[in-house]
Parts: sequence; structure tokens; C-alpha cells
Amino acid sequence: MAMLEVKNITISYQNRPTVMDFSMSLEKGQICSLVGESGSGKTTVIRAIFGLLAGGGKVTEGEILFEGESLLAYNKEQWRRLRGSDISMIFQDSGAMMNPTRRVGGAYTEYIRTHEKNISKKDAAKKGIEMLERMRLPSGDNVMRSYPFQLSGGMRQRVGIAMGMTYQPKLLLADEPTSALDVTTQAQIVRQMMELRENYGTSIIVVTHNLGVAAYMSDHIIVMRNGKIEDQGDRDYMLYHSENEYTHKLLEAVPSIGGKRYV
Amino acid sequence: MSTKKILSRLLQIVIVLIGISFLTFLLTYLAPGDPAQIMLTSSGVMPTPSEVAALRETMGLNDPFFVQYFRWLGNALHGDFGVSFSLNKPVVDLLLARLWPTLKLTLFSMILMLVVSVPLGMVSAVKKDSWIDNLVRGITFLGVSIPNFWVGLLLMLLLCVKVKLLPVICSGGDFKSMILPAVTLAIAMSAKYTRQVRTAILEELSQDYVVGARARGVKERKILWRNVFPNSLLPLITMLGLSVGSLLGGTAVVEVIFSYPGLGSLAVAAITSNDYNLIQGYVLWIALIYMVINLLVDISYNFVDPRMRLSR
Amino acid sequence: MEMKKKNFFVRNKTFTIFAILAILLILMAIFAPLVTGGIDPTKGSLADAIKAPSAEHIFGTDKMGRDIFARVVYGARVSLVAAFGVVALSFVLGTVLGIISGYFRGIVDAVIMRIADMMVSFPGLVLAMAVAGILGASIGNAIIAVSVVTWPKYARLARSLVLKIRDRDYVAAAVVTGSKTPYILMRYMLPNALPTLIITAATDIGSLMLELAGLSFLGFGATPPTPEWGLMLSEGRAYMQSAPWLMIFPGLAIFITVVIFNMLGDSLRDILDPRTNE
Repeated sequence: MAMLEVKNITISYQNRPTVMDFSMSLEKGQICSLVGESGSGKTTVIRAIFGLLAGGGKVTEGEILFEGESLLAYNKEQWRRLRGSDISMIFQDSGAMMNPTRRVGGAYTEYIRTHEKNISKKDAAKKGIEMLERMRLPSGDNVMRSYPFQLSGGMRQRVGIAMGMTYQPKLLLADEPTSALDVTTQAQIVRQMMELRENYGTSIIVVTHNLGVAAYMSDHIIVMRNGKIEDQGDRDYMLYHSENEYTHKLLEAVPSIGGKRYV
Repeated sequence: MSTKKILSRLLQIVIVLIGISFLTFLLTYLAPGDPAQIMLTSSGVMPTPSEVAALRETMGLNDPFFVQYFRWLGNALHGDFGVSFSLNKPVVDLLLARLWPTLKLTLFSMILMLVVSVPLGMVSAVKKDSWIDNLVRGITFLGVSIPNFWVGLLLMLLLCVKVKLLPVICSGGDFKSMILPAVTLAIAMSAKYTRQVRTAILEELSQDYVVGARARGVKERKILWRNVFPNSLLPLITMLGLSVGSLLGGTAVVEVIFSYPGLGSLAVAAITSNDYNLIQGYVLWIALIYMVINLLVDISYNFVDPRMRLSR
Repeated sequence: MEMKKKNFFVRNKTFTIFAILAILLILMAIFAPLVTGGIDPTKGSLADAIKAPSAEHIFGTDKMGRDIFARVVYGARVSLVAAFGVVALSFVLGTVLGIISGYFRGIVDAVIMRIADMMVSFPGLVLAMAVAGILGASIGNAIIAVSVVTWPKYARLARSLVLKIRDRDYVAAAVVTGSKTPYILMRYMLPNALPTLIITAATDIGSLMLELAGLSFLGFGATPPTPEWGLMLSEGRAYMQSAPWLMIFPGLAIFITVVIFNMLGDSLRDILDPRTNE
């Protein structure tokens, strides 16, 4: 049985469907990309899987099974426990997802202490530093003492990944994780995310508008357009054999990463 | 805020004070009513024209406008605002005696106001569009529409005349005499403030970091108390600073109603009796206090907001 | 066309209700003699002094034997005229100065804006009190006093709105093609600034009424025997114990009027500017 099974879901905002009849499945250790332009509904899909739809969005039809359990039947508290432990999410700018008036350490220990009741502040901070350094952030204690706005884009993203990986989630959802970065940093972050699978066996869903990034990272690619699946297949198929016109158009728009086009 | 910015703000305050002093001086100069005449009549006897003329000469009222203005300004810079015509005492002494009662009243009513409006605004924002939000919004709407002098009179009527429940607070006696005026002021301000607290918290709740904290599974309670609430204090501090200032002026009505011996009732008396020296002194003092408080508020941002502190 | 109009009023129920109430209020003020049945609000006989509300005087009478109901009705005239007077005065003054300031920049801008800064770096009521007091108590002077402290708000707003568009291409095109400056101001700058300014004015009327009534209450506005609500409250104060109706009805009148205009202003803002729908 697949680890994540999304079956024919429809997601509506104020009774207006924005994503229709969407299905996907993901095995352990698999990386899948959702590709599309803004407004295609790709972010809405992973937000629905995460139980964090903004402003009154609802899954009105279909089912989401995570390790065989129906997530849609979860109550608020169950969702909360799931988030940041079994499923994590990283965002386009992880720095912006942290309270700007608190230090990184504040947010990190707050997070750790949410999921580990009896850990002391000191131990939580130690754990955070260790995790940051594992994600190749030199001098993690320095990072912990900084405010988010004092870090560079790449560092902020690494902090986001470190936080997301603290509890070695089974599933990592990444919402445009490299879009705010320069090309060199983009490549580094992409490689780092791929290492997560090798080191921890994490399954990843990447939402991106960049088919190049998707092609580089993923086993499976889903192209979305206007709330529906337009095209999908494994990487090889999408790059060389798909006859979908829209997919071709997206491919043409692929910029190069690190001077080399990854296609 | 850098030292340079603070200095430029101080300079700005000086310029504004000079501008205001000039305007008020000009107004009193143009105003009908002769200070010499007022001063003499206030002693109770009808002065003869020659007495008035003699006093005008000694008061320097026959000098050209600018001579008079700069003489007054020079004295004011030395802390001498002249003598009140109607009360025959130095303006500075009169103002100093009334300053503390008004400050006390202002602070007390602000504390009352915060006690009411912060929890109400928070509940209203967190439970947006629920019945309790609608109720709070309805009440605050009525609150901003009600004249505060009417509220004061009604409170007096209800508590002092009808119920006689609180005879003590209705007549004299330091702290107790402050209760009703402070409550009156607090009612009017609470309505306005509750709305502002609600807006500030809603604004903060819509920030990305709230989504981020939820994504990390952080409890709603923690998000609210450790993150949203402290952050929404930032705009509230500014508003508080502004309301201290407007309160210093706005206490006048309430002070008159409850015969509270503060700056406001002194100013009303001064204006009624055309006591120009006193009026000018009062206006300048209030302006100075108001601007200094606002400057302090802006400086306090340095300590509260790390973005201001570290990114210069 | 007819359909559209109807839809507008049905869609915006709050606005419609309070617009009707405001119109009724204005009509009441205009036709005050009819509403009160010809009773003179400034005359009464001392034989009727301090009578509690009854069939004859439904709101009672004051110390001069004047009918409170008539005085409250006529009071609407004073309140409305004064509030609209302040709005008109500060709106026109503020808008003109703000547009000039924003369009011409430079020294004109600096002078106007420094004066405006000075006015707002200062609690409004204090200055209004001083101005009204020094000029002498009268409704006209109260209007001037409140306008003096209100116009900078409009000037700053108008200026910021003008600054937003003054460097746009179509304005530059108009300048290049030889349009005269007054024409540009009237054709581009004013219409651009007007909607926001009108919303502000509409939401301001209520609080301006409160301010004006406050000035009159302190004795810096209307003078006896003018039927003005703030003044009536201050006159009724002395009789609080024996004749509470003297302060209940005028206070209620202010309250209701301000509620109506605040609601009208808020709903108008919600219609014209849905972004600030908070």
C-alpha cells in the first residue's frame, strides 16, 4: 500500500471548486513534483494534505489516506500533532514563516517543545543546533541567536529544512522551496533535499512552477492547470515522450541551473 | 532610531513649539479684549481709563507686535510665562500645580481602558465573525458615537443622584474623586481602542509566520500568547502614545463636569476669562508634553522591535 | 437603469437604511417649525419653568419654561449646519492646499506641509478650544476653530493621492501636449483624490459633531438662547437632581444623530472602498 493516497479530491473555497478530481499516490522514499503556473491549484493540493487550507478552503469530495488513515477524518488536535512530526512543510521563504521579532532559536525551541513535552529549553536548543549543523549551517548556535531577517535567503531555507527534518518526517511537503533563491543557492538546496531521501528515506512532494527543478529532483511529475491534472508521468516520460502541448510549453520555459540545463 | 534621527526630531519639536507660540501669540494679539483692562477688572473694581493706560504702558502692550512677541518668547525660554491676569499668580506655578492631577487622571483612565479594551479586542479578533465579535463590534460602535460629556453626566446622575451608592466618589477626596472622571474617559477611549486592538491582532494573525507556526504544529494558544499578542503590541504602543496626548487635551470636558482640579479645567477657566498668558502657557505645555511623549514612544520601538534595533 | 438603481439600494441595506434616517433628520431640521407645531424654541414663560415631560411638553421644559422638544428639534439645525460647515470648510481648504502641495512640490509644498505637521503634532481639542475661546464664543467661531485643526488631515491625504499619480505617463502627456496647469489639476488631480477624500469626510461627520457639541458644552460654541444640544446639556447640568430630562433628551439627540452619520459613513466606505472592510 502506498504511503500517501489522494483519491479524487475536490477542494472548494466558498463553494467554488478550485481543485477538481485530483488524485495521486506516493511510495516511501519517492519524490513527486506538482508543476504549474500560479493559480493552477498546486499549492492548494499540498495545503489540503497538510490540513492547512487558507481562508475557509475545504476538501468537499474524495479522500486523503496517509499510511492507511483518513486524514480528512482528523480533528484539529490530531492534525496539529501530525504537523511538524510525521509530515513537515517547507516554504518559499522559511524566514518569513518565523516570527520576525523573535530569534531563530526562539521559534526552533518553541517548535521542539511542542512535540517533546518534557524536554528542557537547553536540550531543545542543543537539538536545534545539532540539526542546523547537520543541514550544513556552520555555527548553529550563531544562527539560533540571529533574527530571521539577519540571515541570507539560502541560510533561511536551510533553517526551514532543518526544522522540517527535526523529527525525520515520513513526508516532506515543499512549497516552491527554491524560487526565492539565486541560481547557485537553488542548486545547493535542491541537492540537499535529495540527500534527505538518501539519508532518511523521506518522501517528498515538491510544488514548483519550474519544470527544470521538478525534472532534476523527482521520480514522478504531475502538471497542473486550472485546478486539474493536465499531464503526468515519470521523469523520463515527461521530458522526452509526453505529447502534451502544455508540458512542452513549460519545458521551453525552463531556465538553466548552475549554468547547465538539467533536461 | 539613530541618535541623528532623535536629534532631528528634537529640532523639529523646537520648531513646532516656536510656530505654535507664534500662532497663539498672534491670535491673542488680534483677539478682542484688553489684557490690562481684564487684569484690573478681575480685582473687582472698575478701573479708570488712565489706570488702564498706565498699566498698558508697564505691561508693554503699546510696543510693536514683534517686540512683544520676542520679549514673551525670551521669557518663556527662561521658563517664565508671565503672570495670569485673572488669578494673579505666575503661570508656571498654576500649571505645575495642575499638571500632576491631570497626569494622574490620564494614567488611571488609560489603565482602565487597557483592562477593558485589550481582552475585548483580542477575543473579538480571535473569534472573528462569531456572535461575540459582532456583539463587541456593536458595543464599540455605539461607544464611539456617544458624547463623553453625556456619559459623564449620566454616570453622575445614576451613581451620585439616583443611587447614592457611591457618595464618597462623588465628592472630593484625592483618589476617590478620580474614579468617575477616569471611568468616563475610559469608556469613550475603550470603544475606540477595542477596535484598534482588534484590527492590530487581525493584521498580525494574517502574517505568514502564523501559518509557519501552525505548519510546525505549534499550539494555537502558544501562537497567540507568545507570538501574535506581543507583536501586536508594537502598533498599540504608538496608539497609546497618541492617546496620552489627546487625553491631555481631552480631559478638559470631564474635568469641568466633575470639577476636577486639573490642567483642562484650568484652561477652560483661562479661556473663559480671556487670561491670555495662561492660555499661551497651557497650549505650549500641552504641545511640548505631547511631542515629547510621541518621541519617547518612537524611541521605545528601538527596545521592542529587533528589526529597528539591529538594522540601522 | 431603473433596475440597477434598485439593486444598489437592495444590495446595500445598511447604507439605504441609514441614508433614509439621515434624510429624515435633515428634513426634520429643515421643517422644524412644522415638526414642533410652531412652538418657538427660544421663548417660554417662567410659569412653565422646569416641568417634567407631559402630554403638553413631551420632553418637559427648562428653567426658562422653554419646550425641550422644540429645542431638541431646532438643535438639529445647528448641529447639522455646524458639522457640514466644518466638513465643507476643511474639505475645500485641505483639498486645495493638498493638491497644490503635491503637484507643485518644492517650497510651496514645504511650507504647507510644515504648517499641517504643526497642526497635527498637537492635540486637536486643545487648539480648537484655544482658538474658539480667543475668537469669542459663537457657533461660527467654533466652526472655524474645528476647521483649523481638521484641514491638515485632508491636505495630507490629498497630497499623498496626488503624489501617487503626478508622475504617471498620461499626466506627462497632458503637460507635453500643452494642457494648462489649472486644467491638469481639475481634470486629473482632483478626480483622482476626490473619492478617498469623500469617504474620509463621510466617516468624519459624526466625530466632528461630537467635537462641536463638546465645544458648546464648555461654553466655546453656541451662546444662549441658541437651541444647541451641547449647550442645552451644560445648561441642564445644574438641574440634574431635580430635572434629569434636561440632560437626557439633548444627549440622546446627539447620540442618535452621531450613530446615524457614523453608520452612514462606515457603510459608504464599505461600498466605495471594500479593501478597508474591517
